[in-house]
Amino acid sequence: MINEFQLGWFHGIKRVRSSVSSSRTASHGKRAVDGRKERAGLTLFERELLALLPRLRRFARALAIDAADADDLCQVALERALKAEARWERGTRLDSWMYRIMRNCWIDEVRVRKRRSQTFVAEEEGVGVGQADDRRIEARVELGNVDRAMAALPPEQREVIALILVEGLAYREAAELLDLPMGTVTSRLVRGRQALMEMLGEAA
Amino acid sequence: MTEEQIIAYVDGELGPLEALRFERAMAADPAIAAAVSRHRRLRAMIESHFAPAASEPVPARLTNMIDDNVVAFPQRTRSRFGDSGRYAALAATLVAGLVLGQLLPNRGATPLGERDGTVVAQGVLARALDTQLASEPQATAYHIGVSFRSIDNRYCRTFSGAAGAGLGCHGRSGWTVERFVAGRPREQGGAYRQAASPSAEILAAAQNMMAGTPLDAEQERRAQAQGWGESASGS
Repeated sequence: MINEFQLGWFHGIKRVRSSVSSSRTASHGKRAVDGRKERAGLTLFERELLALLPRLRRFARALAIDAADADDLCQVALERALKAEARWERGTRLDSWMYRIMRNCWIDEVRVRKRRSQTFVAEEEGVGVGQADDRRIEARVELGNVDRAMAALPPEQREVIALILVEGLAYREAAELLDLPMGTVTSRLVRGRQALMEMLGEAA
Repeated sequence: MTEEQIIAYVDGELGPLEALRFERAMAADPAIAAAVSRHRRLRAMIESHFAPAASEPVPARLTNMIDDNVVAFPQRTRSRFGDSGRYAALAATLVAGLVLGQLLPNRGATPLGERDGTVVAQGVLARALDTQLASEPQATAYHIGVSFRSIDNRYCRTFSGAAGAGLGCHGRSGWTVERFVAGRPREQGGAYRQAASPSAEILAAAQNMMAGTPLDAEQERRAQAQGWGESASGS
């Protein structure tokens, strides 16, 4: 059971990828016909997405903690974004749009993992997702205190911390992105921060 | 003063009047000031912990999903690289991130530039990589170390200069800088210390990327004459 977890969060990525790359080839051709092809054969969407990748990787790292998991999360989010390209409106912020997609991908994965861990460790009742996640991360000796503390946060606090502290979003931006009232975001932020401070102690 | 207000102040979320009022209260109460600095430290700690992830080179498997033409460092499997190698490379790229941050703003005059999300050699460095032969005496700003053919069939060359050592591979858009480690490889006498840490790290990276052995003088001359195009597929 542990081994299955260690295989990584995102199983079956290769299969998904091949289907995406074939559909991408088709859409490249279509763009050329549309006459929307731009410099270096990339659309505005693709260029902006490329430029966003470093920030997306940082956001993914703050959510998934493990570096390999984070890049898998990036891959899954990119696949979803590329398929949904038509739904992105020019002139609107691509970063918020991408953060939202990535966060949704991550939450989906957290839910799947929660179900799986409930099946496997049914005897350990009352184990929250954050705690189950924390236990997996805790076994990783090379991870630092900050990683462990972040991993121990429940997902709804971790995502707020990641958006506001790591990505530097304003409270209002984070609330819009998460479709939450401001008050909910601020109370999760306060609780998340208190928990981090408790875990990191005087180091913080 | 609630914890929520303290945090909002630290996050710059108070309006100008609220902030003013807060600062007045903080001046009167050392406990508030202490809480503010605790929360500032926490914010800085979290921020700086994840910040390096945004300056690492983005793996090719991600960039290729958007643009197949982006030449990025090939994703290594754990077995090839070994865990220690992985962390050494990570450390190296962190250093590179810091150095690039300083080098990139002044375009044109600098040896490194950014093109479509990858770091490329330009100016004197690009010229050195294009023209200098490792087998011949070099009296220029950049010293070329070894030239080799990479696993993904590109010509790559290590270089060192006053700011540090690096590794460039030739692709469609010139020389992509795959690795750069800051440091001072140049000794007082002007000689290069090949065993110094920046060069050693670059050599270790080169070793990992290399297909076969480094080019000999004749192979290097031929590759240079052909403009470092795609290396011959037959070994």
